[in-house]
Amino acid sequence: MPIHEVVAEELRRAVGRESVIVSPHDLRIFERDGSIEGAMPDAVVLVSTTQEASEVMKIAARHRIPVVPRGAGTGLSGGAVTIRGGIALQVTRMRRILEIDPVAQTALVEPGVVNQELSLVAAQHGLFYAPDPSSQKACTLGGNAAENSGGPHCLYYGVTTNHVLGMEVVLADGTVRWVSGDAPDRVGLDLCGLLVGSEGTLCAITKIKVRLLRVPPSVATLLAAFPSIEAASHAVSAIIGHGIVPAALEMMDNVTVGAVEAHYQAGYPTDAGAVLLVEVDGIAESTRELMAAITDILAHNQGYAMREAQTPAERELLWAGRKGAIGALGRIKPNYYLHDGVVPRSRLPQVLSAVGEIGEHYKLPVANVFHAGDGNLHPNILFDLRDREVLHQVEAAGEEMLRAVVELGGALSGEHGIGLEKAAFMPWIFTDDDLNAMHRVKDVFDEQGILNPGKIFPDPTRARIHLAGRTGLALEARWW
Amino acid sequence: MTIPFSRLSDDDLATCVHCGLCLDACPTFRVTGLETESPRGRIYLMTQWKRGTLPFDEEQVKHIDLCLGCRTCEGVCPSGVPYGRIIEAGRADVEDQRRPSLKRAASRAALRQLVGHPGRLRAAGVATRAAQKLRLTSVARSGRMLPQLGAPFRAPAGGVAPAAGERKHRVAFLVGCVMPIMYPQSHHAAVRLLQLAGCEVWFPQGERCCGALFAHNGDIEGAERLRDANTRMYQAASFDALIVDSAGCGAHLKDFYPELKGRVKDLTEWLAQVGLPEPKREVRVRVTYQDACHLAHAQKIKKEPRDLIRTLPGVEWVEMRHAEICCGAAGLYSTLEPDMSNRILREKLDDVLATRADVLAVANPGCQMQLEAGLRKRGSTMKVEHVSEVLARGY
Amino acid sequence: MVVTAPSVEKPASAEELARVLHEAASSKLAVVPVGGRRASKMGDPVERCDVLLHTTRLDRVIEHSQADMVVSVEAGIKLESLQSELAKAGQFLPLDPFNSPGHTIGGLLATGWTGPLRLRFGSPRDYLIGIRVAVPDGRLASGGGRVVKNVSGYDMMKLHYGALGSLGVIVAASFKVFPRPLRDVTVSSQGGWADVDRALSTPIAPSALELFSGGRVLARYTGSPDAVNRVVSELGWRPEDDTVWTEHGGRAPDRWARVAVPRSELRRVLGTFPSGAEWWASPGIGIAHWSVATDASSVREIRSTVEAAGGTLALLAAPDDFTREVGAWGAVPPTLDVQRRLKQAFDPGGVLNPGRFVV
Repeated sequence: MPIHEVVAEELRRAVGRESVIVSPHDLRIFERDGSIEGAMPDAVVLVSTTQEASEVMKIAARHRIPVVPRGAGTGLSGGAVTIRGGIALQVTRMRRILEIDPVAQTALVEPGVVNQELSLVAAQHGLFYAPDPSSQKACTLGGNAAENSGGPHCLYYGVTTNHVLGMEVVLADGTVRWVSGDAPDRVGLDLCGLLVGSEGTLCAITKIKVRLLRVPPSVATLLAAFPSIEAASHAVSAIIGHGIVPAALEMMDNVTVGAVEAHYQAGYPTDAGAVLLVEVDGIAESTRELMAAITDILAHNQGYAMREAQTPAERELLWAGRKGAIGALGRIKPNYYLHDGVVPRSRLPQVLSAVGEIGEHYKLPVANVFHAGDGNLHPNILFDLRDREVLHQVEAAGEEMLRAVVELGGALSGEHGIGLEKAAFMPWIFTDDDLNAMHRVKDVFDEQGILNPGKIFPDPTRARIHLAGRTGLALEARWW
Repeated sequence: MTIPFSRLSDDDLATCVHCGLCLDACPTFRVTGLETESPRGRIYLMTQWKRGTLPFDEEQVKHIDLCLGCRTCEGVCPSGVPYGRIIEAGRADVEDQRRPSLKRAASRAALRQLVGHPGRLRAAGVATRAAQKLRLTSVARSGRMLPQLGAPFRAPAGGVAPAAGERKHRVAFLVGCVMPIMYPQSHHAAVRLLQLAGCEVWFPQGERCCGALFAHNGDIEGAERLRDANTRMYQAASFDALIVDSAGCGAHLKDFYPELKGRVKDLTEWLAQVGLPEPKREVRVRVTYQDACHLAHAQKIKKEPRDLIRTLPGVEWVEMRHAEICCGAAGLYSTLEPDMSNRILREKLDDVLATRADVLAVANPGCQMQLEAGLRKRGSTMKVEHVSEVLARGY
Repeated sequence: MVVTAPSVEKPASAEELARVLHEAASSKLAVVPVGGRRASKMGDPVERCDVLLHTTRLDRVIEHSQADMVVSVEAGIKLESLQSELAKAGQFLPLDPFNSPGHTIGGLLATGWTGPLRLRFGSPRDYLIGIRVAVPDGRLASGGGRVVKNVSGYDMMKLHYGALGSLGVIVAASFKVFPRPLRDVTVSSQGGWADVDRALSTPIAPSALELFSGGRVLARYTGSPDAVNRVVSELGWRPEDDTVWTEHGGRAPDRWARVAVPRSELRRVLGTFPSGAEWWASPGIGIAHWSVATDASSVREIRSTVEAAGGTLALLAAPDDFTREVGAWGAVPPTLDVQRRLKQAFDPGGVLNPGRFVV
């Protein structure tokens, strides 16, 4: 539904003519994020200041138009997809790092600041920002806070919510508020903690105060090959079982290693059933000691071809392979459909064999690349969107994999968010009473239901979801 | 007329998984914050045109026009999307569809007339030099961007410069169109370095424009004509490598001239390979380096120029933030899209000035012109030199 | 108003607790949840108390998966019982609150009390991964799960953590637990702030660092043996026994104020305390505990200094009259309107801990 000209004019007055996009052809370009579903917004509004964001929200509230905050659009759960139309509130121009306080070890940033950019700037003070999603070269800190993003190094350092000290947010009525801040143990309810990870359904984020950490003086990164995913999973449990929590503990299966090696030539052993990337940091004494212990444990668990990065460049290359892994899968098939279910770590071998069986049953290639230390899976089902027939298979396989995760005591999402993609599955892990409590929170913050509608909560009007039945995919399927 | 969008390859387009990792590597996305001005957005748009799911819309061509063609996105793309190939095909396809425009037609005609024919650019250079001497440049906007022109580069008599000492290699040298007029001193330095490295340098007679500017602006047929003429000439001679000191030409020759496969070398790539003698002089300057898009992204050469500069005795090296991001020059872009070009340049200059370097090293004439003009406008005294000149300071 | 002694309810299951809560709420009876009574003086005195709802019979470990390093417990379990259960597997919950022993897990989550180890491990806010809460309408609502990383649905753990039972009664919780450190060494000095700065800038950060008003500094280093040994020997401080922490954890002044400020402000703020004031602090976190020996007006004065520095001063314990005079919480948070709406959504009758918390 095209936006009413009266509303468009109000928006233009609020942010300037250049910053409002209503041309339908251009809006098409904004219909997707990093996931595969899409739906066109009715307007894209670029805001440069908190004040502008607040004005836009007031206009939307007055006209009851949905508002969906959007950063770089790298999300993998459809969080930035305007499934009910409305305004895509684009924050990518709010990309200033407002302050870095090297003494307090904090940074104040705008939501459009790119994750990696903050660490690069903080490095001048010997500091870094710990959460490191694989899309960190492009994803924004606003998106990270909205999704409570994780990343490989969250095993040791914790996820986004553990690093956000406070935020300036715009509420559904357009009022601007600060929640939390530099001091610990603030009086009252922890709204900041509640809003981080609320996926744009409770507020729009306009400033973020984050904690920075000291760059560890010593880092050791090890690549190890295993004959099978099961063997690698056991090795993961063995490391943790010895009381060692590495900074990162990542697994890639054979399919992924092949794709990654083709692009990065990082020296990944392509014959391995699975590889583990293990990193420890600290001071030289501790990394040396821990790495020796880990190497020993891995060797006792069928690990072979172990290689420790000798230079920072080698380390970077090993990580480039891991962080670019999902994109590299494009070399096998042009599209992927991935979930990010989490299981208790000890269930990894079971869930991975279930994932493998499901893939075989549907005759779909599956590539696994994930945060093994956290039990956070990323099974990528590979397919070609141009093949209409395969869509239903992909969807069914994805759903079955997630079902397997839940049956093993797991959760629907470890770091990507529920978004659009997994909303219908929420009743698998939450009772009506659980969801009722979350609904109460939603209603307090967004009485009119204009903030990112259609996300997180199962939509009763759509009894059963079918990927192909949803706007974006159906649209793309018509390409052929 | 060809079938609409027949040059765009659907398989190329399908390699994009829409992950978005390219966004922040794109200079136009960085300044606009808009998906429509990002590589992912442009691919999405071209995909829809190709597949007929979005009607061709003249208004949307601006998103394609605004692409610098810098190919920074290719370097960060984990799926190996051949963006350079896609955008060149897309531009050529778009030219068939869009309404003719006087401005574009004029610039294309000028390109064909001026660059496509040997001698004409040289004549224009002579005229500009005269105008500069008479202080007439303020009449032409583009004239203000140009450096003070000296005597153009001329190949030595006989078309060959001998190796210093023992001859170890015989190389051909691309004189090109823009470099010999705008930056003859870069060529002089480059040739001197090659001689020092034991190369006999041959300057082919009858060399024509390599065609890079044509291909980048959607005139693939024009580019093909020039390629065929040049290829005939190169095939008639024997040499170890064709040395190019302008990144845009080098990238085009590597991509577009199958007969020269493996023999086209950027100056820095070649010097790093064959080695230079020990420098004789201390180079007491603080130097930073701006990647040329067509070197860093199209040719994947980042390390060589840096390593060569860093090993000069006495040099104080400083790495610039976002050195790999385009400066906004991008061939004819700064003329065709001056607003966007200036916005990108503004951010670039902030990073350049933050290095507090004495010399900014570059590897392409377009970058050099853009950065010199920008620095001058900001009142900076920082020198912009081709890598060859920086290196020659050591000898 | 007729004052009668409140009735005491000790349900044996979460379901029973939810039923009791629901019945009380339906009759508009004020309910005060009770755990280990370690923080019962925290907050303003309740306006009414009709039902004392004890969680102490909910004291089971529901599941401890050693391999997953995850534990789920009922809210009434004592911290010490949980620690000894975890210790059997070489694991622990890095929570060492003051006024120990005797805290229940539910009480610790509701009050948000922490101790010195927060410097390294964070607070339960950081390692609480699942929660189950009884709401006045009789529902039992869970959030989170039993996995260490989870973004499924809203973070209900954050909503209830530190909410002092104002939105519901916590009946169960799941935690990420930690392996016992390979090496754990405590050292002390008398060097005051200078030594605090020294300890905070060692190549590996201390896991706990406490400063006392007399200038004593306690530093605890945990981790890989070689690293800990190197750092400790470089410091050259006096070695201490583990029992020093047990003793420290037992601290509980009768008039007890907690000051929380941005870390970089702590030293300056403590400098404004009355001379001879007795306090201890976690300078790496920005928290100080003050054993109040002055009158209400000077507490209010200190509070205004603290609030001007962007912090808060809350009373953790004091006689009711004193608390009324000072006010347990100080300036109301700027988002009070939103917080009140949340209170209204979960406890529309206002039966939970009426008047005790800010909402």
